[in-house]
Amino acid sequence: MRIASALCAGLLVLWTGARSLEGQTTNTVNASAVLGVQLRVRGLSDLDFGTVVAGTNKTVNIQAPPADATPGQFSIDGEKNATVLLAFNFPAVLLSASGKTLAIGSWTGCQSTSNSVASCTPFVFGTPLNLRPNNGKLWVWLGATVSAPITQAAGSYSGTVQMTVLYTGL
Amino acid sequence: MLLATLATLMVPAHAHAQGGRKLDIQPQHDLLFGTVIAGVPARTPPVDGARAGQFALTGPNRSTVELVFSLPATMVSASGATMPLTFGASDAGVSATGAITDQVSFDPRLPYTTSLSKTGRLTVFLGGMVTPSASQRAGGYTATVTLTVAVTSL
Amino acid sequence: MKFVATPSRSVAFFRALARRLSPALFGALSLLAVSAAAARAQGVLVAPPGVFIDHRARSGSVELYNPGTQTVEVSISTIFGYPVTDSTGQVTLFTSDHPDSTQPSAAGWLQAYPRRLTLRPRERQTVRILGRPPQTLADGEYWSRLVITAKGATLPVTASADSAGISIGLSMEVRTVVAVLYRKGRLNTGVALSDVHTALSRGGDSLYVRTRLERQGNAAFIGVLHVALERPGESGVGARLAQGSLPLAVYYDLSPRVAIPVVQVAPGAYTLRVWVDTDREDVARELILPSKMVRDSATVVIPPRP
Repeated sequence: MRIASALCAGLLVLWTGARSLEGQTTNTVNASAVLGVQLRVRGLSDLDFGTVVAGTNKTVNIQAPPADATPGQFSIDGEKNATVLLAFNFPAVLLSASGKTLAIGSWTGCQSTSNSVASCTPFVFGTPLNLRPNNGKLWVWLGATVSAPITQAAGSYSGTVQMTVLYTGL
Repeated sequence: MLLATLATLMVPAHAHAQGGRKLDIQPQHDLLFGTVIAGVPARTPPVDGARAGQFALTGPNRSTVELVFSLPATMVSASGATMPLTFGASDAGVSATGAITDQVSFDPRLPYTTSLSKTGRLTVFLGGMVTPSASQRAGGYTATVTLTVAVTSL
Repeated sequence: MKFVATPSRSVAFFRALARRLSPALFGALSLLAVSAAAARAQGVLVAPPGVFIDHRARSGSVELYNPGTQTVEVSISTIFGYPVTDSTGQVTLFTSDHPDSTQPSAAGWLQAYPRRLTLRPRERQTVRILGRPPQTLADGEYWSRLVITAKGATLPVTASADSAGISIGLSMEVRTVVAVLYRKGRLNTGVALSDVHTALSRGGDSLYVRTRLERQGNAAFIGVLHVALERPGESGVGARLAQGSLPLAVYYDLSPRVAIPVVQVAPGAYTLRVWVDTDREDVARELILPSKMVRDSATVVIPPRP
């Protein structure tokens, strides 16, 4: 019986080895993902002129807007310490469906590495802006002036502001 | 009792001789998630021909095999950062024809028993999902998926 | 960005004003309800900021994701461009719609699929970039920029119910521009560093460091410019009193400026170390062509502050 047990145990070991060689096999594939640095641009608040009376100009001053108006605000998230170039195309006039125009201009910009309009720094459009080194964030505010003559016709006016975010580190 | 045990133990060698083919797995394609976005989960389904992981199995014709995956829970970057990697109940599939569109789905988290084709072939596909956090560190992340196959019919 | 009239406010103001004004005068005035729920910028998240395409595969991809709550229309185009520095050392982008034949432009034969798409809120889309270069394309690196334009799909302009009301709709397009580098054959790169010079800011709180970087080899150099101010006679991290860095890509040459804060640095002579390496966090290591680190140093004197 002892011999039989020993033989059985020995064969079990032999079987295990044989199974790994003949009846079982293993292999691998790799799983991979690349988390790329990303650029994210968001609009945080609207450029709101409030109410404008014909025959007047109304300016949304970024740091001191009229009581019923707010500057536009954007945030940009990117790679820390990266250089991002912001470029803007602004309309000079807004158009109504019937082709009438409403003047808009005197665009102003202000930027900060914190979400605080009080501490923002005015910038000249076209000047490269550096994202903050520690987390790569930038906040941008926009203001403008609409000029409505007394003869301004009622209606809906529209236009497009184009903001381009260029990642210049590559 | 001893004779019965001996008979069982002889099976693998017998299978090799009779099937004419040794059991083999060859990795065909890595499981790819491509570029992922922080805070946005990314899933690669097992039917994605460009990204699904893929193994080619060969062995004894029509033999029954058990597939057991060893699935990592995280992917790791060169700097040691980790990204969660999960697998769902339908993230694996097998195809006797090898066609990715001809899969029978199964849960890769559990052992799965199936059969090789009449020519002794089977293709195994694997998908999965990564869940990068919103503050996930940029870089390349990798992990290793292991598939163990055992013949159970012989 | 979109401006939409806010009827409640504009009408209330309109009526208040009407009570104060005579009908004749009132008729002469047009009241502009330029309330402006300015449309949210319809930005999409774009990753990665650089797409590298190998000639053997001839394809790459970018991921687009709409993190917002409004559907976004996206269009994708290519343009030739590469970073340059302006007279102040700021990095900007040179672009050209019609590069001449001597420029290694891939803009004309790279195509995005799809070129137009709609992204619903929280939706993600892979855009394939396929290269269809001329058969005679020589070995080398070819450059382009991918312009991803995102615009709100629906920007309703709400007309005021009042006949005298005016509403303004001003839509905002956000364009994100990322690099595409198409590589064929054996490539090598490097950078030569020269002409290190410095200047103090007007208030003396920052030291501006400029240097000239000239690309070597036949492919863009992708790396990081580092500057550090160290105690004289010492070196290493422990000796650094101030430092800064700038990720950059040198396609031909750059003369970038890096500002480092020196407001805490006492007047005296220091060693300025400048070096360029390829240690980029935003680009996968295997995509960066190997290159030797280059370095230079200079003596800088911080003068007594007034």
